[in-house]
Amino acid sequence: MMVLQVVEMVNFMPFKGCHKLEIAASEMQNVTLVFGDNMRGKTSILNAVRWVFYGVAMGRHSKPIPLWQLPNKEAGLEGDWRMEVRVKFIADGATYDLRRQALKKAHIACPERDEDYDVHVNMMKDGMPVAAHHIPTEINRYIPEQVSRFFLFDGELLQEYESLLVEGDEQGRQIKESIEKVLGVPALINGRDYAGVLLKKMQKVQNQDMKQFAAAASLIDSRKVKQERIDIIEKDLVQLKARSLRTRQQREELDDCLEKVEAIYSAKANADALEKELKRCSEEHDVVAEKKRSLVSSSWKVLASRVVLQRLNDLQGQEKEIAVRIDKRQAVKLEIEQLKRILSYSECPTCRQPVDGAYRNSAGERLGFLEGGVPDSQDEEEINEIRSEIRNLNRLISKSPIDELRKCTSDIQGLDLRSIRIEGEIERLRQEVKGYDTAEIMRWRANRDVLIKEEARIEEAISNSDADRAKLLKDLRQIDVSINALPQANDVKSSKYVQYFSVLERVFSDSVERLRENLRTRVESAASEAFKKLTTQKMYSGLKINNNYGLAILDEKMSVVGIRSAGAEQIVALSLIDGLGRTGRSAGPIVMDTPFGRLDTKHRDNILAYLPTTARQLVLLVHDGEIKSRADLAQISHRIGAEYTIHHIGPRHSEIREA
Amino acid sequence: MDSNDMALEALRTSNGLERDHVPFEAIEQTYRLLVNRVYERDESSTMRMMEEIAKKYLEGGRI
Repeated sequence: MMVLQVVEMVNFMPFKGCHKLEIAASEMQNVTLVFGDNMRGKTSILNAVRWVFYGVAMGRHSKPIPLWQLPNKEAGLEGDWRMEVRVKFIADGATYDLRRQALKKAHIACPERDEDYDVHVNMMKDGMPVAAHHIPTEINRYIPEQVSRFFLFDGELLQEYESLLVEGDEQGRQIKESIEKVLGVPALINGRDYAGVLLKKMQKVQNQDMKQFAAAASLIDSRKVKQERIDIIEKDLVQLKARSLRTRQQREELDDCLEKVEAIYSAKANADALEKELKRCSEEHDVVAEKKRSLVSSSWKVLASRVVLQRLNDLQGQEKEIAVRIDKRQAVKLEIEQLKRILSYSECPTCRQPVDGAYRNSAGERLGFLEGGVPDSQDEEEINEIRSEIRNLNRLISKSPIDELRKCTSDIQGLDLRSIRIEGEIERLRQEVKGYDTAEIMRWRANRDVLIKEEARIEEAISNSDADRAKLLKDLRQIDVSINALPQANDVKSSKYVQYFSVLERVFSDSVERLRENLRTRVESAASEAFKKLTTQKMYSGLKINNNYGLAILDEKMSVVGIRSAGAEQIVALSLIDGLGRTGRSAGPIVMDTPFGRLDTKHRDNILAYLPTTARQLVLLVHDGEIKSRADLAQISHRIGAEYTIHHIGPRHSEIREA
Repeated sequence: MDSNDMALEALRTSNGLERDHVPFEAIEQTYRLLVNRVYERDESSTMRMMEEIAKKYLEGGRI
């Protein structure tokens, strides 16, 4: 078990000068928290630990960062190009002090290549220096680089574990290898392979020892033939595997190129689409500009509107008066008509009674009065003229164009801005596309197709050779048994060795699959247990493991949940890591960079409550988006043994301060 | 039970199934050697040590 005590950095990445982190090491207070905003240096702390142990720092997409880019530039410009990381740890009762330094070569003014630095590594064990060639062995005893992804991990990369669910995925294969390393499978694989080599060696010795016996001659000859054939197949296999590796690398290089070209094609398509968009903008601009011109040309109406309104008001008053007069005259005319009709009858048309004389006189008087009072009038003509003028004036009184003018101006500005942006984007995309030869791209594609077929052909050849080798080995075993059954075999020492290594090879070989099977069951059980504690979905019943150690989520009916969110992916990955930690050899401290980035607060709380109880030491590098306040940490406050904050001093300068 | 115990258990079972099995002590010793040297680049020295274990058991009259 390893316990990390101190990490010290000098001019490492953004950490100008000397910075020290004392890691919480007590069993009950085993959590160290480091807060820092993005771009302040959280990942650099993870990289400092990685660099001091393994001499490598990882950038985006898990690619190594060149050494010359690691030292703090601000310190360098001030003349201090020295970079150093130092860790102190305890393992198996011994105290270790490991220091890795990069020092600029004296004749270099400003380093621009890895070769411009000398790197020195020193290790002290219980105060005694460890020989340089033993340092990697000492490190690998406690925190092997091959399994470092399980204790120095970047939360952003947790989604990589999903590739374990895809059969044949290269990334998944690499992770599977790492998993088997942490679980100890390679020791058995090495045992099988080494025993095979030693068996072959001893078989050759036995061939020599037994050739004096006639009874063994034919068996030994047969064994020699088969051994020679196995040797040839094994040599072929080495070459085939090397070719397979080369072909895969070439194909991956072309994949990278074509991926880039895909981006180029996409950039060209985007540029073409933007050209069309730009044309539409221009047309729309013309339409709006024309509308604006039209609005401006009629804007004089606004100035005349007051006079027109006054006139309109007058005319409407006149129209009203004339209309009243016309109505009155119409009523008089109607009454005259009625009186004339009455006076034209001598008797009532309904009851045939004679009309009263007095009534007729009165009606006659009324008729005379009315006919005398109706003047000749020009009112109809006059009202028509007024109404005509009102109509004309109403045309002049239109809505104010000011608001519309403002809108047009704003639209034109918006369109101008959009056009400028589109033009800028088109220019950027054209620059991206510039210089690419489409014929070359076609050649890449054709080569890639050839390489894919070549890969498949080599894989088939490897598979056939493996099968031939397995058959020959089986035959050899039979021959071994036959030779060892001969009475003369007891007289030669090598026979015992052949038998011993033959058994040893079979035992280790059988154990590899047996162990894998048992480990998968154990990891599945431990990861399921962790998952049930970490997930907030109580309907999930656990996890199911596949041959690659990929984990699928099971619902309450034990069916596999097909679609998983990024957050669920992260929980499954953390469950796998916890399951591996509890099944495999203890890896000591766990340093997690941005572990809660994709998680909601409930999942984060579950992890915060769970991980400190399973890891010996936990270093969390977190930002404000993940843990917003002290209240978020309430449940692990008793576990926190050290707390730091990364302060921003400048773009190339951060400082670690104790919180 | 950690993965070491599980590996030893697998070896014990496999050895038990062999007709001409070797003493489990020899297998266990070989396994522990391999675990300690799993990241050792000098494979030939590991194989020499495996031979030493074999010699100890075969020539020491244990088999």
